[in-house]
Amino acid sequence: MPDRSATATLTAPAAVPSDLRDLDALCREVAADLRGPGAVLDADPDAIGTFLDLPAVALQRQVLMPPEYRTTGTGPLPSQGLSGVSCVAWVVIAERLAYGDPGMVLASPGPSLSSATVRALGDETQRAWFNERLAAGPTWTFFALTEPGKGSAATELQATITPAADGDGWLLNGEKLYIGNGSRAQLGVVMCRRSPGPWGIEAVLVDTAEPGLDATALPMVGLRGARISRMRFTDMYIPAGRLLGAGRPRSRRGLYGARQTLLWFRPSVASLAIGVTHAVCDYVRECRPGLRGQAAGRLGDVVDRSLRVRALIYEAAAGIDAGQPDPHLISAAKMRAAALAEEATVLAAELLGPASLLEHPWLEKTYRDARAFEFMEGTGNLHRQGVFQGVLRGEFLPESHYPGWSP
Amino acid sequence: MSYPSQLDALHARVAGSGLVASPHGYVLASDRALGTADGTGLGLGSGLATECVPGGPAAEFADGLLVLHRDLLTAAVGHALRHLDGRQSEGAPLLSRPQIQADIAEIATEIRLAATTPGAPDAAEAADDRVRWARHQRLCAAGRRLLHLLGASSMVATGPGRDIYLAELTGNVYLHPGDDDA
Repeated sequence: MPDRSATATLTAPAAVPSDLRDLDALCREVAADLRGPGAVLDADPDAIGTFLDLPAVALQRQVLMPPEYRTTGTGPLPSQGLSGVSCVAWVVIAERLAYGDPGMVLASPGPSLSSATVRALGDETQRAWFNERLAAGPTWTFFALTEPGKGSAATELQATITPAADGDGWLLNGEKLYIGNGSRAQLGVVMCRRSPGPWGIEAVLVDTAEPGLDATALPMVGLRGARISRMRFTDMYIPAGRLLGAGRPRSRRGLYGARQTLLWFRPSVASLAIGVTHAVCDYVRECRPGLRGQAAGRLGDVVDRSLRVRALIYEAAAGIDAGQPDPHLISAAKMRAAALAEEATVLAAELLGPASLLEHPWLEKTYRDARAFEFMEGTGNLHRQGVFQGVLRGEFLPESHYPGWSP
Repeated sequence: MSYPSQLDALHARVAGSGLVASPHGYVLASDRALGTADGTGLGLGSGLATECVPGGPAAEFADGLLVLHRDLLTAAVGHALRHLDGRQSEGAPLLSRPQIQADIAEIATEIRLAATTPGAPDAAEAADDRVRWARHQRLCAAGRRLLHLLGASSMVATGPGRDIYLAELTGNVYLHPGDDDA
């Protein structure tokens, strides 16, 4: 049975923006090497340390950093489409590499979500501190928003920063839950509360080597490589210079940074899900090349919808790069992509016959992994609310009254 | 413009002065276009292909039906928002209920996806009869979900229930891929 399909039909570069064709081709090539390591990582999430030289791993370290901090020692990067940090480029990369293995994508060192917060809020010194650490070598990062009992509701955070005794810095206290790479990261961003109300939310840079942090990886059913963790902060000292956006108006600090971060990364979570969807559909086609009739129709329907969702993702990412993010569109793309990945795995398990989850280890792993996209960067329920608000405001669907119905 | 009139306009765009027949030989158009008696009172008549354009540009017509269906649902969402905002339960509009909001979000996302065009080679691969049928079925499911939000008013023939039904009927006639499960 096939264990890699990186050149199969659904990775055809047809829909990729033209200036990203070289990057796309590179990603398709290097993604093929992720299937084996993905399986290893599923059994031992800490094995990521043995795969740092893989081109796909090295690539991720580079593209989310400003060009002036990128290094050439980790392999060549296409110049087109990467003159800055681009959301469109990142969604292309995320989809292609997830086609190889999504766990490897999420387990790899690199700037991750915290980079968007630093870009949105950080001053020159803070950006330099963050990016120089990342450029120095393989560095894992985290973005800690979600809390036990509160989920990812950024306005309801309970983790706090309070003035430290030295009168200059801060003490960070509180607990964060379901934080990707939290137990292996060297630095990251913690969202916390300095005072009551929505404008009392702040974002601070954290160096995990400093005292006051207890981080533990949680046992997970799928996407084990992501090292989803619990992080407890107890009187962790935060130097004054690591409060992000301290010089900005309060309405443009913590809460604003959290929102910008999530908007920037949600399309890429959708892309991870589409990459997995395509990998699963190709896998079924390779295992059952003679698929016909209703079975072929059902698989074709999933493919059809995945290509449409991908078009939404590109549109959403382009809006972000243009400085005009459409939160309703982002929500729609993310919730549909996540649902498709799950649907594809469930369908594959059916189409490949009885005990397919025992006889196809890659499918069994992917079947577990695909569930995570639903809750990453906001659950489907949250995104349905986002879409509804767009409908209500007349921003999501074109206005149409043609039939002239009576109530 | 009602669904039968929209359907007539689609026939005209694709077949000029003729009418496009389904793969199984049926033709659906407005009673006025077919010159038939109004059998159901819903304004849509059926005929045999012998008097119409044989075969016709089937793919273009089929894709046009999906666009009609999608646009119909878009209009129906607007109707549903007004309807639900005007209905009160326990002192609040029905539209304020989370489950109703979630249903509308799902319906709207389905419509938005139906309006999205994927990249050309990928689309060519996917655009066969079965995929088109699946798109129709998804629009049907979204329409039914929307009609459930409208309660009894969804069955009133002067509301969207009529046109949504006619879109389902037309898709059943023109888009069904047949039984080739061998």
